[in-house]
Amino acid sequence: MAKETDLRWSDLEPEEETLLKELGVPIGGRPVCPPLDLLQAFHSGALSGALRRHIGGHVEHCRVCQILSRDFAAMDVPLTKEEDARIRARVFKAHSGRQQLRRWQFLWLLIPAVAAAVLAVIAIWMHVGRQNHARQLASSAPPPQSLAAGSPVFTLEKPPVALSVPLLMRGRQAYAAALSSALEPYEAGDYSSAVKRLDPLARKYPQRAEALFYLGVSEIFEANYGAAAESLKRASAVARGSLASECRWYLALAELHAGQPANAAATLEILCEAAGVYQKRACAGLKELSSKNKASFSR
Amino acid sequence: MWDFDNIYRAHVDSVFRYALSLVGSRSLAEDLTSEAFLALLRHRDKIDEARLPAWLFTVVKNRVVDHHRRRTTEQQYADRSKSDQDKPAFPAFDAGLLEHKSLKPVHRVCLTLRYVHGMTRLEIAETTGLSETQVKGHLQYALEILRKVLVKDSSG
Repeated sequence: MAKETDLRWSDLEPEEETLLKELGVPIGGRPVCPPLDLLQAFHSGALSGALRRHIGGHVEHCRVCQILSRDFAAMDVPLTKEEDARIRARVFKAHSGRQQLRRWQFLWLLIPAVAAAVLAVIAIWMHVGRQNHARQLASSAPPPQSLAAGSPVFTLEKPPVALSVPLLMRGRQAYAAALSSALEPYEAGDYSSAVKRLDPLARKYPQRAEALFYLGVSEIFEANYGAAAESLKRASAVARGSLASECRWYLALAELHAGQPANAAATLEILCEAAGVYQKRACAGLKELSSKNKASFSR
Repeated sequence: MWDFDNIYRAHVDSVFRYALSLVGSRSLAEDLTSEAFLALLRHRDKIDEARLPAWLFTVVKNRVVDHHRRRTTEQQYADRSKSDQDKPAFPAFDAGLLEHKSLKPVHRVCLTLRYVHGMTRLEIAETTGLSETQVKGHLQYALEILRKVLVKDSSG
């Protein structure tokens, strides 16, 4: 710091030295007045604490500092072209940088939109595929099995694959993708393979009703009614909305096939009491059960 | 619709002058002006154009206060004063000399910064926004006036 202060006087010219001597100013001495930046900061009220008190105490008695502050304000040298160019460069460079960033941010915003679009396409594709497959089944599959001769109420119909878009969009894409793959043999009518594919998935995702439901239905078609009833019972416990009703309906069918008419009646009662697409069929089924010999439903 | 370029052109000079009046340093005033306009860019969705340039002035003032509130300002000044303590303090210029009727503010500022604050001509140029040549000319003129005053006093 001392060296820097000495350098301040390095560009003194002879006439200046002479004048300073005449004025009694020691060359290389230290200034007693605070620097201009602190003087201005003091006048603008930007200083606080001990520094404010110190500068204020000096300025109060120093006419030179008072004059300097007054004159500096009066000089009013406007912004030079060079200064303006530097400020402009800094501001507009940052501005263009931000605009570029905003453009990239816009692309980031597109990612979820693209993902949603892809999921929607998958859902539509699955829906169309399901309808086509249903048509194929209608034309080529054997007639629906009936649990009771002359009883259309308990006709076993293959439930089509229907994975809701919300399921695909709730951050369960991995599960949805695995389920979609595992359902391929189910859709093709290969229930044995479907069971093999759906069983590990149902174990891996015990809280996901869809895998359990299609596993249970596949087990019904495989005539493994006890296992089907178990799978569908678990599916009913975790299913929500219309899928819950569907689980209970097929559970009732599995229970009837498994020779558990009392359990089937209890399941049907729940369906009959609740509003839903299976309500009428469940109530009709209950009536039929009560009017027929329960034993006739067992195979 | 914001036309930032127009807004910048309309207010940059007054913001810079205001910043300079607060800090007494053109380079720092430059930084503060840049920061104020960058802040305006960041918050332009929330700022009514009718609030300009007052909003920009407020940003500048707050930045200056923040700058000086940092302990470093006080510490730097204390350190500088301490390191200069072994040197003789040169007496403040005679205010009577400075207030001579032939001297204008620009002469007094150059004189004070040169002979009270010990700045080089380049430093004075950077502080005032004048060119180094202009500083040299103002100092020569002011010295001539002072010399005449001193000669007059000594002969009188």
